[in-house]
Amino acid sequence: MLVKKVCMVGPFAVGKTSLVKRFVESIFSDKYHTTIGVKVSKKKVELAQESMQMMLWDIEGVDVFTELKSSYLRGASGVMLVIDGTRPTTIRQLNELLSLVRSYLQETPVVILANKFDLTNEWKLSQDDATKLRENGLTLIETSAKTGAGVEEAFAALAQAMLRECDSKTAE
Amino acid sequence: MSKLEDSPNASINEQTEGFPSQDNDYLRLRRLLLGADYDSALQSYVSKEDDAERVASVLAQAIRQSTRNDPAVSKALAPLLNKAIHESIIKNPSQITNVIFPIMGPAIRKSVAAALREMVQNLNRVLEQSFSPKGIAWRYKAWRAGVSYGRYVISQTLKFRVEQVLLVHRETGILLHAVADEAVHVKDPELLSSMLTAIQDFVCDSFDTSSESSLERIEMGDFALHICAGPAAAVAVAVRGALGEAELGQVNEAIELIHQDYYQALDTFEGDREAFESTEDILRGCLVSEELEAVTQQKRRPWLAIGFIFALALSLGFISVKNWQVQTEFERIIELTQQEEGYIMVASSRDGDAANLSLFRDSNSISESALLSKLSPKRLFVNMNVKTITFGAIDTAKLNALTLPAPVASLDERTQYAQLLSHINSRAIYFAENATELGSTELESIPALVNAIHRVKALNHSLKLATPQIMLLGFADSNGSQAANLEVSKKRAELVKALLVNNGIQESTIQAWGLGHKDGQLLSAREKRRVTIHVVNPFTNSRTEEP
Repeated sequence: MLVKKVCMVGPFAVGKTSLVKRFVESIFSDKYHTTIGVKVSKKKVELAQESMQMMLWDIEGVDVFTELKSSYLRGASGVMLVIDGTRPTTIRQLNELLSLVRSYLQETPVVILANKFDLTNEWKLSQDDATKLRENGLTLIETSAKTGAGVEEAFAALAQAMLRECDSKTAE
Repeated sequence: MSKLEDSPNASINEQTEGFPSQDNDYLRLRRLLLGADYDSALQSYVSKEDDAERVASVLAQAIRQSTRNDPAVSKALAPLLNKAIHESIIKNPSQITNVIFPIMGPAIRKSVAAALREMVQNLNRVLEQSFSPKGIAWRYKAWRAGVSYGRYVISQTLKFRVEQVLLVHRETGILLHAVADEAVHVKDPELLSSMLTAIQDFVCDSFDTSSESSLERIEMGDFALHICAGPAAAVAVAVRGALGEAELGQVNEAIELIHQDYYQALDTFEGDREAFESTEDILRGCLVSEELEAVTQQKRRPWLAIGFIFALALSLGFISVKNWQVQTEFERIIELTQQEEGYIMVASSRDGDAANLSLFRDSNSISESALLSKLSPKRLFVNMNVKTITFGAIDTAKLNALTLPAPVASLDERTQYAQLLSHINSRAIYFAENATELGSTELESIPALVNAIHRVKALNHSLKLATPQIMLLGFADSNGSQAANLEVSKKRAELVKALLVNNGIQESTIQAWGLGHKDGQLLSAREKRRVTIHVVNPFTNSRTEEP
């Protein structure tokens, strides 16, 4: 079974922790977010080819006061970039965060999770924005921490992408 | 001369085909200077055969010298030797068996002796810690300190104990392999490994230290986490107590060895940890502990454990001997009762110090109190359940008047049971004059009888009643002496018993009894030469009418 480090990043209060809480194993409490700024949990993903264990580094939210701790990204094989689909500011922060991640992890697969998809009346991520992101080769999945919609699919999509990346590295 | 010149030239031409012209000139010149034998001498010098000979002559010395100076030769040869041994075992397993056989016996004995010694030492320690004044004092102190007794004992008896060893990939924080002391409950090492890396990154970020440097130690009370880092991986050891310098050096050696042996796997690590499973032995080498009183403990005899084992053995011995004596007496009582004239044992059981006997007694035999005094039990309380009967035509009819107990059986079952008993009890097996063998007609009736007995037993079983006993009473006619009649009647009863046993009736449920001549003038001589069959329920579970 392959083991991969996956980082979960995103603006402050987009629901990163809530998003995965129901789907992962952990022995640590949420207080680690406010102390060292990260909490590690793990998630097993069953793919058709093989199983993969993700060591999920849930990094504290980024805002004007808090920078992304780049050292936590070191060695990551995949990134889950979470935004709040109901808050335009977090949608605008997406490109900035993506550039930041890309500056440290050039080839690493990234999956974008547009969270709070259950709040359909307040949904602000337009179809155009979503299409643009997808046209740029990014994987965008609408998710809901409340209903769990899209979460397993997001893990599976990232695992597949990491597996492809791993295979291409081995081939080289 | 021309021939001599032609020949080398021809050979040179053959050799120089395909080479540039400058090289051809060189080859021609070399041949002219060194002669025609040079090439063959050169070939012979570098041929494999000669190589083998030359290497063989110095191989042993070369290996000795290399091993003395550099352990790398041993390491390089190890996989080759492992493979060779593996192949050899597959090809001829008996060879290796013969070789290791003389070693295995002493090794196993030594191992068993060591395990026993360790067990006694551990037992002694447990007893000391549990019942000695020191143990009680420790319990009190642990309670006052608010820590578990186990933790307190460790702090008092161990200088240090390495509880867990983690091999961590430095860049990703992924756990490559982990080992832990079996006595210690550990949390998920994979999460610990990643979180430890996160803490390390946090320290580096917070205090602007280089990411190449590493946390070396985290301490909390009597717990310490020592981290020995290499360029690609780190070994983290969780220690209770103070780890010595020598042991820390051992951990450093371990990480060096891992980098040396697994440099390629570490360098190309993409999440597959299989290659690191073989680091188990190296990491286990770091799982060390040292007792505070190790030296004095070894010199002391474990008197408490020895005393405990001795007392335990004594108690077990006493119980075994007592049980053996009671069992022997029980067997003696059974034997004596069975030998007693006029008594038939229907069932017997032993419940601790009590012997329960279910008996039929001939009214002409000695009384049950007389039998009891004859048995003279010393260690057993004998509980006799005796039914007194007078054997003869009339009394056997009374004996047959058995019914199923009403509380456990329905009316239908009791009717069915009565019919079956009637079928069995109305049967008698007749013999010719002076005969102890059966005629063919009588033999043919045996299977039907066996079938009826089986049905009675099945009914008893379904009603959860005790297995019924089959009583066979052998009789003889009035011809001959009393002793001869008794003998022939016994043989007849035994013969029917053997026939029933051969047809699947359990031997222990059949009692055969020869009664000799007991009948009056009402029966014919043929009718007197018979064996009667009676189904008897053990008294404890049935309601038999007093005959």
